[in-house]
Amino acid sequence: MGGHGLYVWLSYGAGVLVLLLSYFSPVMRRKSLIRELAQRHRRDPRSGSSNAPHSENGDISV
Amino acid sequence: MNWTFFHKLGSPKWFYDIAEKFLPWFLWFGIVLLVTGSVWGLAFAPPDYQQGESFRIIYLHVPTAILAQSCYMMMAVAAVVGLVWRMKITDMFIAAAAPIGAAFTFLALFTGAVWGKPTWGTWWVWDARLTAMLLLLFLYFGVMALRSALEDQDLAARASAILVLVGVVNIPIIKYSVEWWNTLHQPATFTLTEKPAMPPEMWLPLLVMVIGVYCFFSALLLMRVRNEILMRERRTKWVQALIAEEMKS
Repeated sequence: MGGHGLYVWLSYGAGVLVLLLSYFSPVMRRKSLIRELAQRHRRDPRSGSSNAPHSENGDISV
Repeated sequence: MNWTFFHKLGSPKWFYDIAEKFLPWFLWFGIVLLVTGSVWGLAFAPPDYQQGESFRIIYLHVPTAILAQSCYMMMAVAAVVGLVWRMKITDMFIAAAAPIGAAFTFLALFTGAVWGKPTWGTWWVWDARLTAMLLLLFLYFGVMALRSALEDQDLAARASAILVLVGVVNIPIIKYSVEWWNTLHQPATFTLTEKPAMPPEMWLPLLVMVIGVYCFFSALLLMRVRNEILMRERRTKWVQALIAEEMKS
């Protein structure tokens, strides 16, 4: 490959890694989010569940 | 002008359902195009007469760089719409798009550096385009950091929209840097007015990769916006019903 093969594979390797990570990040987040919301609901079933959104502190999502 | 579309866009549930429908299409089209484009670019496109095989990095570098800038422009449009019309979905878009944009910008910078080493003899140079792309990465990080630092959601929405708009001047700088200044980075291969400097055997796989990367980006975006919706609308009946349904399976 004219000695440049390493660079090509390095780039594509990084590409595959970044794309895989960017796919699995929201997938894992969704799973943990559903679990967390189900737990919260079990602990504190809000009888007044509304259709209006509510701003809550400290929720960070990446 | 169909205003009903805008009204629907204001409903998170509508968006969630639409996203559900479109997601698999974007994802699979994206994956197929990316695999096709990569194999084509790696194995079937002819080597460059000057650079040899290292030029194949173009099939990753150019699409990710294009998307890195495109994503930011979309966020800027969302920021304007959000500030003027105050639609929640625009803030969700910005929150969802920023990490994806950062990932693609990083990839563009990384592949560029790896390509630069054999081609230019250096991993990095502080020329206009590279520096501006690095700035773009910092802008993405800035938006993400700002959002996680502000607890009040409305404040976070407005602040990140403003930050996005302040940084948008960087995009034409990136784009025109190779024309305005004497840079190491080569000028554009494709322009709207001239024939490409490359033969079709070389730029066709590039086109496939660009479309693939846009499709994959859309899929990632829809996944993240859905998570945002679930989080923000967690008190609504439809979300609680959805959670109950998910926990059963």
